[in-house]
Amino acid sequence: MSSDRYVAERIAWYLNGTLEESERSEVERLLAASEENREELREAMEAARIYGHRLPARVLVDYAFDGSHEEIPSELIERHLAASPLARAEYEMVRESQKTLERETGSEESPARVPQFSRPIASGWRRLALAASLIGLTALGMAGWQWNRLAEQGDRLAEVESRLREALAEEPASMEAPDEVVPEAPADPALERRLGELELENSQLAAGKSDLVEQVARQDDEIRQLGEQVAEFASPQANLAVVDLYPGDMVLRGQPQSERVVTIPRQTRNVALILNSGIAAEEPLTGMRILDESDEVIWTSDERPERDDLGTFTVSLPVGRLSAGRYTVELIDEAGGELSVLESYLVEIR
Amino acid sequence: MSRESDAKIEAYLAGEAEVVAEVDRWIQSAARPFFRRLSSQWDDVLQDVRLEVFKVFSSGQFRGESNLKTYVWRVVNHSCLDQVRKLSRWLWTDIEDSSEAQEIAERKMRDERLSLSTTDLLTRILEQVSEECRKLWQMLLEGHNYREMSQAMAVKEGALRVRVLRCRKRAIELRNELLDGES
Repeated sequence: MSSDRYVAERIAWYLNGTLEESERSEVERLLAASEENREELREAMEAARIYGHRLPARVLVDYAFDGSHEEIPSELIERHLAASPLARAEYEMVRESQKTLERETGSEESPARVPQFSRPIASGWRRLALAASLIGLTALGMAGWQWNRLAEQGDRLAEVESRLREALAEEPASMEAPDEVVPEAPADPALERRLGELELENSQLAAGKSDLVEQVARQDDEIRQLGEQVAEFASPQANLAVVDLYPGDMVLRGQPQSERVVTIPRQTRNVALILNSGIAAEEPLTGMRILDESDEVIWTSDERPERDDLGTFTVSLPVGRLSAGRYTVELIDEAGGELSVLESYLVEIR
Repeated sequence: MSRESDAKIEAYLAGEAEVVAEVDRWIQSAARPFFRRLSSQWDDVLQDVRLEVFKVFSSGQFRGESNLKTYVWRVVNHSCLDQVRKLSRWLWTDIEDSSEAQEIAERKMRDERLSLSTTDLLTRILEQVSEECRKLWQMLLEGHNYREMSQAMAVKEGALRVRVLRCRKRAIELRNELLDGES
C-alpha cells in the first residue's frame, strides 16, 4: 500500500487517538515526511468539524425547555437535529431531563412559557374520545409500514397511552353523554397540560402515519422500476464490449503504468473486462474492486474471483457503471484485516 | 426574584444542610439522563456541576425569570453537555505545529459563537451526506477505534477505512460546492 494511502485511511483514527502505538508512530513518521500527508490531516480535521458540528449547549437547552430560541429559527434547529446524530443524542438527554423536571414539579412557569398546544379539556367525554382515538391508531392496519418506524411508533403510542390512562385514572368516573351539560371540575394545571401534550402527540402520530404510507408507496414504485431494469439486463444482448487488460508494472497510483484506452460503442449495455493476471494460483486473493479517478471505490466484489481456463479473471458491468473517465481495477487481498493490492489495471473509457 | 428563591440561595451559599441536600437532589435528578455517557467519571461530573451551581448562585446570575428549581435544572444541563463534549475532544488540540493549532482553536471559537450561516451551511452538508457517513463519523467522534467500528458495522477493517475516507472526501466536496454556490 502506498504511504499516502496508508495515512489517508488511518488519519481519522489518528485524530481520535485510538490507533495502536505502531500505527500511530508510522502515521506520524509519514506526516513529517510529506506535505500531501499533512494535507490529508487538515482535510480530516475539516471533515470532523463538519460531522461534529453541534449547536451551542445553551441553544439545545433553551430549545428543549422553551420550544424555541431567540436567535436561531426553530426550523434550522429542527433540520440540524434531523441531520446530526450527535446533536440528536445530546438533545434527547436534555429533553429527558426536562421531562423529569415537569413530572416532579408540575411546572409553575409563567404563561409566556406554556407550550402553545396546551388548552383546557372540558369534559369526561372529550377525554374518552382522546383515549379512543389513541387506541384506534394502535389498532390501525400495520401492513405496509416500515417495521423499524413501526417499532418506534409502537413504543411511542404505548408511552402516550400509559400516560393517558394515568391521567384518566385521576379523574372522577363520570361518563355522561355528550349532550348533557356537565359542571366543570376545578382544573388541575398539571393534568391539563399533560392532556394537552397527549393531544399534540396524537396528532403528530397521525401525521407521521400518513408520511409513512407515502414513503411505502414511493418505495413500491422504486422496487417496480428496479425490477424492470433487472429484466432488461437479464435478457440476451448484442453489442457486448469485451476489453483485455494487463497489469501495470507498478502498483503505486500516479506512477506511469500502461493504460488501456477503450471507446464503448453507443449501443453497448454491458462491458466485460478480462484481466490477464500474473498472480500465481497459490497467492492469497480475496476480492476485486474498481476505483474511479478520484480514488473512490465504485464497486467491490461480493466473493472471491475465480480464474477461467485461460487463467484470466473476468468482470462484467452495466455500461452505466463506467461513464467516460479513468478507472483502476484492482485484485486485492483483505485477509487479516489489512488491504493489499496484488495487481492493478488502468483503463480509460471514452 | 422571589423572596423564597432569594432565601434559598442565601441558605445554600451559607451551607445550610437541608437546603444543600434539596438542591443536590435537584442536581442529581437533572443530571441522571447523562449518566450513560459520563458514567466513567460520574462523581467528578457531579462535583463540577455542583461547583458550577455554586458559582452561578454566588455571582448573582439568577434574576428570577423562572423558578429556582428550573434555573438549576438548566444550569445542570448546560454543565453536563459541556462534559459530554469534552469527552470527544480530539487529538488535534495536541498537535505540535503551533500555527495549525492556533488556526484550529480560532476556528473552534468561531464555531462556538452563534453563527446562523455556519450552522445553516454545515447542516445542509449533513443533510446531503449519506446516513452511513453520518453514522460512521458519529462513531469516530465518540472515540471508537476502527476494529470496534468494523464489528459494529459488520464490515472488514480495510473496507471500513475506505468508507470513512470516502465519507470524509464527500463532506469536503459538498462544502466546496456549497461555498462556491454562495460566492
